Amino acid sequence: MTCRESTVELVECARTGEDPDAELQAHLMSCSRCKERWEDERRLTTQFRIMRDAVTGQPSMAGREELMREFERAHTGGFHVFWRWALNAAAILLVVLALVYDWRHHGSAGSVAKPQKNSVGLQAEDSGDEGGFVSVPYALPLAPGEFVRIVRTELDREALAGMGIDIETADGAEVPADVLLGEDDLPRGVRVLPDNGFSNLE
Amino acid sequence: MKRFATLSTVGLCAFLLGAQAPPRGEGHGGFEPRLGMMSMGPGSRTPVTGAPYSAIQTTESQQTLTDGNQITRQEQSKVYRDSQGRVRMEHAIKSAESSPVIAIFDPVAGFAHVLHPSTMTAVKTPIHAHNEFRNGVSARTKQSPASDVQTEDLGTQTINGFAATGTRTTRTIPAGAIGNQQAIQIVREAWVSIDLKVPVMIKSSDPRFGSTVMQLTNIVRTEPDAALFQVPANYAVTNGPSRMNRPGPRQ
Repeated sequence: MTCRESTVELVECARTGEDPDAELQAHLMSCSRCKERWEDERRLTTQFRIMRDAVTGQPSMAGREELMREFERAHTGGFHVFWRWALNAAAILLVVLALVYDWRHHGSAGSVAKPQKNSVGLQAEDSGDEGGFVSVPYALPLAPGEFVRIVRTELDREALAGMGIDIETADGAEVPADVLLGEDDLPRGVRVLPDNGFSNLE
Repeated sequence: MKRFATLSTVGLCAFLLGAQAPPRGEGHGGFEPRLGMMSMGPGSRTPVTGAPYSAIQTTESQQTLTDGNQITRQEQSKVYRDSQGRVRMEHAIKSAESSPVIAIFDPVAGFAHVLHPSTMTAVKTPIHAHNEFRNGVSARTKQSPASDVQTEDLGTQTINGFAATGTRTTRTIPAGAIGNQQAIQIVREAWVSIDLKVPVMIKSSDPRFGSTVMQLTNIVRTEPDAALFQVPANYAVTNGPSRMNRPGPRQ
């Protein structure tokens, strides 16, 4: 390849952005003038591209692709990692909240009013909760200044049913319960106790 | 909603007066406290001050059984209230071997005590513990609709020597509401002293439980002895449960 032929190909390669072929590269290795010319042509073409992009406001396809690759490298990996950690943290938080809720509403109340022996099976809505007084349905309100008292007694299924509280008991079995009475001796609330309520009284 | 609040208030104030059970055998009344009297106290959350009195509270109840038989009972309690709003109630137990159960409600000191003279023991409960109990009650009580409650103003009359305002409350349980074939009517007539701000007479009729008449008699409007509102020095005092889900300390 002569220097004249090399010059024509150098200009074309610089314009199109393609790499020189093997024959041209071999010539550039052996001819310092052509190599210098190739460097100048490539630099000039790059400058022209930058100027064109500045005028049009649009990067070239190559530049755009390069920018996109940079963006992917810079953000995509971090973006996914961030959300992965955030989702993991949210899931852990939900599990913790669920455990706390379950413990507060079931675990701590489990020892409250559920019979520890199988003589009764509580079905009253509120009998298993702390506080645990179930209001007697349709009881009339107390008068201002009226005194109340709580008596601990044993009630059978009929007595509880009469107060509108449904509890399954063995036939004839009685359930320990606290009954809230007004001054008229009529019940206002009932709290069914666990079987071991007896042990506290002996 | 009112009933909701009422039961909550009632519950918390009752709780304030302790929760330790006395020995078995203190039988009395419609709901016989076979396992003990747990507490007594004012149902109002706000103590009444500046109106001291002492009186005897008598409750007569009557229940007719399905075979026509009748059960009639009578209970008596002594009630004291000082000008600071402290209350002492001595609930007489009919059982011969038992002594009265005494409850002292002291909003000044912030404590309530239940005294068992037979064992010379007392259970002390902090009044501030009531919030938990109130919340427990209010959040978990089943409520029946209050729309069927009718209230009638009975005006003012002199009851047992005291001017009192009367209110008659009527409530009807619709047929089938609690398994009843026919509607059930519940009536309550309460006369509240204008000066003392406590009921001096309550007449109740609830076919489910019977009829009762409560009267406050022998009312004396003088300051009771301050010692009545103190736990005797020779009593063994234990702390009551701080949560209502603990039935009571072992004895």
